[in-house]
Amino acid sequence: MEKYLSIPVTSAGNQLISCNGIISIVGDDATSVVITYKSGTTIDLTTTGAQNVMRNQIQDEVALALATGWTNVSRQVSPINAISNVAVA
Amino acid sequence: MVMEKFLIFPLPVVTGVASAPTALSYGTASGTATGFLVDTTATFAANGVVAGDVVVNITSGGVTTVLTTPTVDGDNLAIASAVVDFFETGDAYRIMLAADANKLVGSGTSFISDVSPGDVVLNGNEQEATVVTVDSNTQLTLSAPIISTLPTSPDADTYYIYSENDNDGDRLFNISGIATVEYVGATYCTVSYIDRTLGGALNDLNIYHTTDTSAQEFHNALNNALVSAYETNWRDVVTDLVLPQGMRITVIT
Repeated sequence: MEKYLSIPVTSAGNQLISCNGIISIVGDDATSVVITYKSGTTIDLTTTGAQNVMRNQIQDEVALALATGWTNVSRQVSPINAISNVAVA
Repeated sequence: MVMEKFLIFPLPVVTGVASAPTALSYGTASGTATGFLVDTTATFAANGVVAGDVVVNITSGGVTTVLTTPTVDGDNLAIASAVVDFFETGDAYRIMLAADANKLVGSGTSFISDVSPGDVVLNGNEQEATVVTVDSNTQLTLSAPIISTLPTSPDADTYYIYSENDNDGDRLFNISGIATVEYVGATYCTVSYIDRTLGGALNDLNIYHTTDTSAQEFHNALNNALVSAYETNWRDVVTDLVLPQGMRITVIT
């Protein structure tokens, strides 16, 4: 069952972010929330200020998405702070 | 149970760079005069341009023919089109030998087995024509003069051929385990998988497409198809990617 967050990224539309296989979501610094997957792949969300607030929001949204029925594949997120970039590594 | 899902991506059946035809003459219009191509630096006579040759306005996509064979260089070239401002100052143009204008000549190609009349040809400048006849393994006749080796810019010799026949370029694209789909720019998106390669590298695929003229249209279509595919029954393993109107995928790397 695949689940995604649909997150608006500045000048790049809504970007799907997988909720599957996540092992951690960390507020790395004041401008970054890093999602790490089991494989080691990371997705770094660049945002502004209040890292814990953003990290907590992403965590909550992931949990809510995973708790929905299987036909609810994508969950639209309205970030508390704008996300300006998404980097995969 | 592992639930696999795929999208179908319509890819070209043949891609390449044409070795011919080429232009007799090409340049940029330096002025306007209805019924004429004005280029004060052109050498139409010396280039062997004659009445009946095909004149392509590269900028607008308009096509006409040479009305009168030029006898001296430097004069305006009479064209058959009487459309006001068929050429605007700054428009790029090329002039093709009439017999060659609608050809596409490949090298090392197998057009007879790979291509059929009605297939769509896209050039590197994102202009389209259809295949009228398959002349040989290396030559096609097209419905419009979109292929030329000169000028080199904009690109009119790179070509992509799309077929809707049994030998179409439809390719399964695995969407299981996608981490994210990134809008990188107007001409491509990057799909990143959660699982890495055997060597531990990031597992990315870049999907190149014709220019997205409205914001993130292709990216949105891909996102929607991905979500829709997972909303279907597990037996529905394959979902068509519905491309935005007029858009095509050129290559996946």
